[in-house]
Amino acid sequence: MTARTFLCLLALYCIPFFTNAQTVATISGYVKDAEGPVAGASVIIRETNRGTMTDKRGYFEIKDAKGAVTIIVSYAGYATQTHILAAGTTALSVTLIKSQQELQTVKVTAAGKVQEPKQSGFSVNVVETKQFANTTADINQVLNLTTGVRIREQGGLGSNFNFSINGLSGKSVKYFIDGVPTDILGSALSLNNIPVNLSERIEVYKGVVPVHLGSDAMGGAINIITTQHQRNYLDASYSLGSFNTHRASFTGQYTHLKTGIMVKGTAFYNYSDNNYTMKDVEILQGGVRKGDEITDLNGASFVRTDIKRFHDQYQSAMGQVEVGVAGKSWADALFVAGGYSKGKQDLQTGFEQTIVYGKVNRESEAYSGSLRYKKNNLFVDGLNLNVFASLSKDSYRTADTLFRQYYWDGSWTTKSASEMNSVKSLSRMNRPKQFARINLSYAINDQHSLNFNYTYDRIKNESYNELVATDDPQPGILNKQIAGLAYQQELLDKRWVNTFFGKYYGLHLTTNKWINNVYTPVSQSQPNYGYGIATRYKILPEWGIKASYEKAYRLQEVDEVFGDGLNVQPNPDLRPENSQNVNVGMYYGKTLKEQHRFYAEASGFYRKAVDFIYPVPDQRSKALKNENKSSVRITGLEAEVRYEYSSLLSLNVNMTYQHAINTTKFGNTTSNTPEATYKNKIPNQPWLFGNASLGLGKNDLIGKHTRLQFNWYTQYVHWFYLTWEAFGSASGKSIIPTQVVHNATLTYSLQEGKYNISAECRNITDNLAFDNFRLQKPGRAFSMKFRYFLR
Amino acid sequence: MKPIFAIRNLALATLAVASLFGCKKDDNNGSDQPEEGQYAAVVCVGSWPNTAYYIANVPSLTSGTITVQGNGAEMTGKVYAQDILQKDGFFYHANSGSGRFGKYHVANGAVVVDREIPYTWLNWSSYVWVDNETLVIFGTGATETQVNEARYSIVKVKDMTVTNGKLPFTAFPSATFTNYSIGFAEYRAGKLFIGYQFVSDDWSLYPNMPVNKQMSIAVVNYPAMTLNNTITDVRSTTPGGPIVYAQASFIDENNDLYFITDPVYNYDYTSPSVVYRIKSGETTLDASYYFDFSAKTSNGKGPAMWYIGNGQAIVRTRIAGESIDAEHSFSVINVKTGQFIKKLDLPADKGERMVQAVIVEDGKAYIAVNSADKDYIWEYDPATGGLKAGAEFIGGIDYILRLEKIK
Repeated sequence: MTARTFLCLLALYCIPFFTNAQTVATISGYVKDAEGPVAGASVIIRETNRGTMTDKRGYFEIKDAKGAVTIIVSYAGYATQTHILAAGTTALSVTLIKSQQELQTVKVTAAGKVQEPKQSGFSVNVVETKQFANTTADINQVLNLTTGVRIREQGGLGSNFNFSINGLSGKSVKYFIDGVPTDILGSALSLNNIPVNLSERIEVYKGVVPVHLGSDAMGGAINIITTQHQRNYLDASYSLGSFNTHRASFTGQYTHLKTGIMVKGTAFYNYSDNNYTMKDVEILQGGVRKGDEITDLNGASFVRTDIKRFHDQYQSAMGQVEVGVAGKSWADALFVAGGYSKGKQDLQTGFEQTIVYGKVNRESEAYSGSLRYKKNNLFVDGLNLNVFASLSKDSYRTADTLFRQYYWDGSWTTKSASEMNSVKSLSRMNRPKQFARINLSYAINDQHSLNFNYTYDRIKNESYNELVATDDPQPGILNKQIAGLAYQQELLDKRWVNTFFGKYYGLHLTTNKWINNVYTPVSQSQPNYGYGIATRYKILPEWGIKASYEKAYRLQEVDEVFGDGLNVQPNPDLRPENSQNVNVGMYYGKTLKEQHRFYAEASGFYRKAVDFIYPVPDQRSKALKNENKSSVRITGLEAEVRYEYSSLLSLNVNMTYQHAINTTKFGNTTSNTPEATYKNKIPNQPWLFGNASLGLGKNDLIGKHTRLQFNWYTQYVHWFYLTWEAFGSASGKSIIPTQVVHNATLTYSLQEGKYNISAECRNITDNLAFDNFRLQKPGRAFSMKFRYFLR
Repeated sequence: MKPIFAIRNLALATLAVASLFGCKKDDNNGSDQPEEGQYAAVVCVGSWPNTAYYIANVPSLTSGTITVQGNGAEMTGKVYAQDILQKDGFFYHANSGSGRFGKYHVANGAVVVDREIPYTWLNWSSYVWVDNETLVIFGTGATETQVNEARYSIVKVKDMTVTNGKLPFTAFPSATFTNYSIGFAEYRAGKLFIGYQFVSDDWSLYPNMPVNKQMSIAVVNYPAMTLNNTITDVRSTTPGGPIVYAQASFIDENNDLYFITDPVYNYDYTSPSVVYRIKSGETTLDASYYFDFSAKTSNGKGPAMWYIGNGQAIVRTRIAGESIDAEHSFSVINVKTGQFIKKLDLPADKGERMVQAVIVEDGKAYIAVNSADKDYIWEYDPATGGLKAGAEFIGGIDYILRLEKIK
């Protein structure tokens, strides 16, 4: 608490209260194009970031313009214009010109919003999602094409996955939408079901995470930026594909010009049977059968065959409506939002392919309400306030109520325990959550700025078996408060940018336990401090080098420390995971004759992570216990090269190599001999992987204002060992074989991208693909997507 | 690292991917018969979740080194388990998670799947070989109404055919006790002797689990599988833990049956570890025999016991306390007379809680010890009392799980 107060005060003391006496004027005028007035165009004063939108007549008015100002006028489909007005100028008329660039489906990636974070000191992938908007890709599939990222999926649409950034994965990677943790929107929402259309771009911060994403993201953070246009738009799409897969998404915004009230809606729906063919799996032959039931296993034996998955149906839906105002003198944005999400999923397998489920399923549901407020130039110029607060409740239920053993052909036999090898259960998990985030940024002057971020996160964890209980007698409460302060300096005419930051992680865990037959509240508090630096130096305007470092944490969770009273035993001695993360890199981006665009980037990374928390199973108590088990040191390299020629051609190749070494010296804590695997390469992890993509597109090929676009993506993951490379005879070692998967999309867009139709084929060569040992992913799949995009 | 006995609820730990999966393409690279050496050791390498199991060839018990560096058959991905039963070079394992029972052997450095059958009847903890072809396994399974039953399966290992049934155990004494912990099992002259303990399944009370202060031994007629009689005794509890990991009983050359109890395994922190005897031809405890092992070992407990000949047995001895993940030593007892001989002067065993640690060859005992420093197989000669270091496990093996005599 004291450290938080300190940071808070520091941030406030850093605000010098001063104003300048300047000429104050109201600027007004009209925006039109060749055909007449343009309604909904954005008009912004660059210096203050304050702006408005044109009305039906194309008219705008901005009050309180001080001194000379730069006015930026923009509207989708038109070239943005910049006008510098001398002090006292009050009138401005602008004629917008249609932009050819906007017709392109392939975005010029080394520009604008993408360039900004890219050229900061942080190691970050920024993906402009526009190029994928006509494909059926979800966020995971898009990110899996980028450097340093490897997502290991267990199956088809909606399946469990493990997201790894530069070798760190699991709970050390955190997910955000517009800077807010995604779990607010419920567990039905995950990176593998958010349609790509709902985002404008995605940022992947590797190892070193800026303070505005206030979290214990030790390995890195994904921030999905949704469409932030000031104008009205509508983006609706529907796709259908193999395995009875249907996906629909909708996002749109409407502004009532008279009142300035904006309504923004976002929704998606996913459905799939996921009944893809499993190759060479075991089914049972023989035995005495009654329907699907095998009543007597005598004489039954395993035979191998190809067979379709039979219990993997997946559905998820999400909707959110935001209502508010923007561009008011008292609020740059004030919105209230309500969201709802729901998911239903059949589980087909356990963590290995031989564990087949036939009735186990999971349902989830979440409600959320939130408020966000943004005010730039609060009290003084350059002081921007951003507040977000939400209440949400997420709940999910896993049903495992049958004493059955299923086989791949859907037949089953009675078993002496439930399908998941336990007692019959309807495992309920309720997670009410309160979350608040305050971000204050202050530009002291052109060179120096401060950013202060504070998040408050309180989650109550209730878990119980609905078949035997109606509530959780030992709910755990996790209280996380994370404060961060960053100071950024831009030196040498902005060629050199440094960001210094410190973070405070306050953790408070509470639960109730039976101690000597008394129901006693127990709690644990722990402060941790992290810090870091990110720096970038531009040697030439197109050539920069950068480096960043962070001492980062992943805090313990309630269940990990106190157990859940059911399946997880307590371990009060648990320490947070922590890591020293270093990135160094450089980039080079050059445009020749406005036609040839070239971009290259290469980075090296180093992670020294210790005290990983793992649930370790225990046979006697039939429970798991979380322990600080192991440590790892990762060094790696990643590189990417892009080339684009006008709007015709784009090429992209990237490669990632990571070398993860086990630094757990004494796994058996009582041993004096370093364990055999000390300093050995960590097994069962991809260590060499890459992607290549090719885009070919032509405007007006089949009719005016049309575009035909073809994209090809190839993913490569080098084979790796299931267990330690150095141990066991070579002849008997299991491997996860090399994966090469090709995907292709052909898109035809009409009326400047208003109507789009795409045909897509994933895993064209129908290769057997698995990320996890023998957990097969879908084979060849086709889909069609229709997208309507109005702006 | 804690024991890797059960691999349950591990959907989370996706890194620890294991599979009991017989891939035919892999399988045909070996012969139908075990062809490795005379002895083998099952060892564990790596920290959770990257633990891996190997069957290491042990060229000699008395000299040289044992390593899995570039050697040994990888078990992870094929039969990832510590509770594998070895006979004549074949390994057997019942996996309740994936519902199968398999027979395996090692050839050309690889684990070969001889046969896997669908099997869901019970979750094993105990077994006995009735003859060289017949393995009887014991464990529990729940009925559709979630009532736990004690069950058995008779397995003809040649072709892996199975006959299932329910054990005629005594009903639960009260609603507090809803499950059986089945311990030692022996077969003698048409009768099975199966030790068991009533236990609670209410883990919300952990670690103060209810204890039923009485152990039971069912004497079951084989192959009729009918109850002959039930032996009970209240002086100790838990007649053997899960002996699929390490044995707790034997029948000596006089056909006398001995077993040791391990009360702490089922959370009884007060009863002593006791060696009992059922004399040849009898179906009751030898009333004249009661060897309080705990009394001789500062309240130590005996999770495993092996007969080494000449009336002597070795007891893997756990130091006093409530934890079963504690330090172990090895004690020699004169089991016939019920006398404590000595604690062997070996380095403290810091290894796994349940280890198949002792084999007997040419009248000598060979003991695998997981020490803080070097890990050796030690030779103990009961005739002379001599103790010397033999083969060494090198390269930092994390855990020695089983030492097996193949031929």
